[in-house]
Amino acid sequence: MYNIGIDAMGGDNGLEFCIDAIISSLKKHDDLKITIFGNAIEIKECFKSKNFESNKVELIDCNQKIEMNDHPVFAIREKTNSSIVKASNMLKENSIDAFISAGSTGALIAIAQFVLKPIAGVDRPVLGAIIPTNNMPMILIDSGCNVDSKATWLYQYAKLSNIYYKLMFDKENPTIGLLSVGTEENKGNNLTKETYKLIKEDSSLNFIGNVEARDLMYGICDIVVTDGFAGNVFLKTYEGTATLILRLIKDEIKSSFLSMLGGLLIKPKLKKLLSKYDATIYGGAPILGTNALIIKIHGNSKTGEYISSIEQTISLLNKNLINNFKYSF
Amino acid sequence: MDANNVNKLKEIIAKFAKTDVDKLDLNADFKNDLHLDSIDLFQLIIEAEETFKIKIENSQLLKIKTVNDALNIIQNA
Repeated sequence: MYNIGIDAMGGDNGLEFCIDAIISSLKKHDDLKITIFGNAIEIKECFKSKNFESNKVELIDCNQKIEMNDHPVFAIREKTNSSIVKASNMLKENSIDAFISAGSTGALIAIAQFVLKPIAGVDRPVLGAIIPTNNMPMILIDSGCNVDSKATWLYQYAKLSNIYYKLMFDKENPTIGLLSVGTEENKGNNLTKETYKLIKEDSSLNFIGNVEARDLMYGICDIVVTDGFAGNVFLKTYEGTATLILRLIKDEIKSSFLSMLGGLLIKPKLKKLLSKYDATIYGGAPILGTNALIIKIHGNSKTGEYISSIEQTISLLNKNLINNFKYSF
Repeated sequence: MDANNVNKLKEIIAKFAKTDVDKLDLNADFKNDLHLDSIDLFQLIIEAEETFKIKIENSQLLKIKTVNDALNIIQNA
């Protein structure tokens, strides 16, 4: 039986979505226990309002919250009664098997680095974001954790995400690209050139060389490796452009009676197309390279995302993600 | 902190600075001379806290710029 910890303090949308997901998952999985970290009184009231009781739920009362604007390292040192710190202690003692949180990314990375510690051979734990493409989903690593990176770290990210991709998507030899400003080997800055050599020398990795940002959404590689600065710029540009294009299409559709009629006709196809680009169906983003399984989900997660992340966590525990990392370094 | 512990502390700092204890420059700046970032520095402090069973206040951490700063703050914690 797995005991999965869930942060009931982290989300922007209140407690209800989280509790609904927990009830749904407990009904689906007989061999699942959930440890909830949050305000115990509020959680009990929420369960009561839904007429749900279970001996497979444990509450850990927390009366401090790590806010998004808190300094991550200072916060985990000071707010010892927060959900994230209490959960990290239980992860360290193996009292829970994994932890899902919509809370502060910085604090989660900080506990991965300072409390749970990186696995031997890894310098910096990292978040790999899953991005749907025109082809298979792609992992963007680093999506913003370490803005000043070293080539050895990027090489470690390539190794970590290679294992994660294999287990998450059941694909042998996922292709790995290195984000650069041209596809030729000599293109890029010093960090890219140095990283290129390190990844190329590792025959266990299916390295396809440099890739350009404009080609990524066509699904030219399964994993794209870059430093946290460029990765975050890419991610936000992609999100911003996609949002703008959608808004422009909506505005045009609403601009006349005829175009509204056309809009009605294409609505089902458009919905189908958009669902293909919904990353939340895959769950959250695990912190790769630390000694326990932590899944970071969006702050605005709703019931569906919590459920997906619980399913993802069970799957990654079944596939022994953390030990696979340890054996590979 | 006795001389033995000061040496132990210097060993911890030298390990993070990737240098020998006898080559450790006490005036070296962690960021500019030893090329350690804030994560490395926090890691160093946490290791010192665990080794010497001490607790350094967050407000003190921001004052650490050089090896000497670290030695002084950790010794006085």
